[in-house]
Amino acid sequence: MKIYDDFFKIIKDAVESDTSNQFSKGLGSPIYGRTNEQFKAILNRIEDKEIASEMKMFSEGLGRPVNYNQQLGLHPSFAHLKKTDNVEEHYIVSVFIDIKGSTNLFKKFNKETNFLITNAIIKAGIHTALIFGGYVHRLQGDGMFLYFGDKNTEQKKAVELALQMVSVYTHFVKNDLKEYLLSQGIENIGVRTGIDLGKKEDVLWGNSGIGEISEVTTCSLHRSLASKMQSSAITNGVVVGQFIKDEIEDDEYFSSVTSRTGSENDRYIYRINDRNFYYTQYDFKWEKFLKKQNFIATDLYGNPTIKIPSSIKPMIGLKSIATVNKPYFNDKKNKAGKGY
Amino acid sequence: MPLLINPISMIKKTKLEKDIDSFCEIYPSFKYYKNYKKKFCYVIGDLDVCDLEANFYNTFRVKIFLNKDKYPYSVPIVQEISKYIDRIDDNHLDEDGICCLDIEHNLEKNSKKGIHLTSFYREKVYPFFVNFIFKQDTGNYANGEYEHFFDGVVQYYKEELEIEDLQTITKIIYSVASNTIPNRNEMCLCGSSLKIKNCHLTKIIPLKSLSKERLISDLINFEKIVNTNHSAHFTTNKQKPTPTL
Repeated sequence: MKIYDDFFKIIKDAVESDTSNQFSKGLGSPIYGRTNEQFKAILNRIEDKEIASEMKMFSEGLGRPVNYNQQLGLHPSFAHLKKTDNVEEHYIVSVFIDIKGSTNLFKKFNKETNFLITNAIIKAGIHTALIFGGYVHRLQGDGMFLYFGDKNTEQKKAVELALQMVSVYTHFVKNDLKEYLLSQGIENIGVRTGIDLGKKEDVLWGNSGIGEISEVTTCSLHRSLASKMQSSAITNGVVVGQFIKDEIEDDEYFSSVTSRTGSENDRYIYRINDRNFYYTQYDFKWEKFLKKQNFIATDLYGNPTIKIPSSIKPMIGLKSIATVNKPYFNDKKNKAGKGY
Repeated sequence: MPLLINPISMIKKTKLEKDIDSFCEIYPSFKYYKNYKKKFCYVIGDLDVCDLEANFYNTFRVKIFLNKDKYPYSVPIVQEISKYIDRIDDNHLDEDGICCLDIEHNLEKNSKKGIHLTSFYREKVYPFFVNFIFKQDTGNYANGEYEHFFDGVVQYYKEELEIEDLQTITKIIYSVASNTIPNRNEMCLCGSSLKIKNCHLTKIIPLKSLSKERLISDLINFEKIVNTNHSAHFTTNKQKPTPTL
């Protein structure tokens, strides 16, 4: 997807300037390590307070302002709870995304290159989350813990935004990123995601920790289940809880995890037999969902493409497809032929 | 306890339905309508024009009719229902938005081999709309166009056979329709001094894929332009031309 082009350039520059690529130039070539300045230049290609240009155009097309004024562990709707003993009930969508297989990068690249690559992947995730109105609650190594929803957003809308975000991001990792890393001999890089919705009565917001060693966070079964469901997902898969599915009218995007694994034990992610509470987990068919979003176009081969508003239309890119067609006109034939 | 089986689930899907399922899986904006008790079913959806560099240009709402009985051996009918394209001859669609994707001869040849929905969409439908956007911007179709009505048929034969002379084309059409194409070692119909195997045979053979009705109809229409009377061989059997002029 074009919106990730700038992140992709960072990854490519990191790989190309890695010493392992210089070895491949031949024994006779001198090996130059990446200088500290070069490292910083690649790292800071995308500024913290400015999203990448293509992504910015996409974001403007969605018509949603991006809120950069965020801090980890401090959701703006609940920031007033910081360093207090107050608590509040409010719904929240919890999203856990884990980059899987990133240790494989160490087989090929040095630690600086790995840092640049994983950082670009995480930055791409953060910017995608911001575009879709998400809040980054915590970064954990190769993982991200995001919240969707706030006091100005309907619960249903928050679920939709979370699903859109993970669909766009997973598509990037599964296609653009994987293809490039495979060309570099790196296999099995992907993301696994778990999502769940905690309803108002099930979620308690409050300050957890002491003094500065604290965060405004949620206490909720469904936050824990989101994390647990992330580990139920296959590579580049997304597993969601029953409450997420209930918010989306179309059942066609979900299939029971048990239908994938064949094991009845995988049907429920959580159960309390005494209370007759059985909570089902579902594989989310994010590719199908993605293709049906208004901001997505489906190309000739059925691949999703972001509809980026742009006045520049390079016709040269259409020519190879257009050349296949040579139209004719015979109105009388059509009149005679209408039997439908 | 007897096993309960839903009789609907027992109904085996037809080749057409399987192809539609697979098409809608790849292009989920399309939805299938059975159109009960009608000859044609159809799919309706959004066709997004994108190039191979992932640039998006425009979206058209499209309806594709498929013959339930003859699929895949029939030509699907494509209608542009977003009304984005003006209904004028130069845009190659009629007042109802029915699109002339290609000359009928090519479509007929394809239908004999079988036209499968997904490949039809990729090879005929999608390029038609991409070409419209291309022409809108550049003023020309990327690969030219067939002239309208019978002039386009004449152009088709000229290009397929690489022969300009209409009398020779007429002679060739007659030989194909009457199944009297010379043997490989006989002289070519074009009047050159070459054996047909070294001249136009490879251009002529594909015309055998056209229906006899179409060949005779074309022959009759050609003979309104050139002074030959090959068609008499067929019209004595009361063959009438199709209304292409």
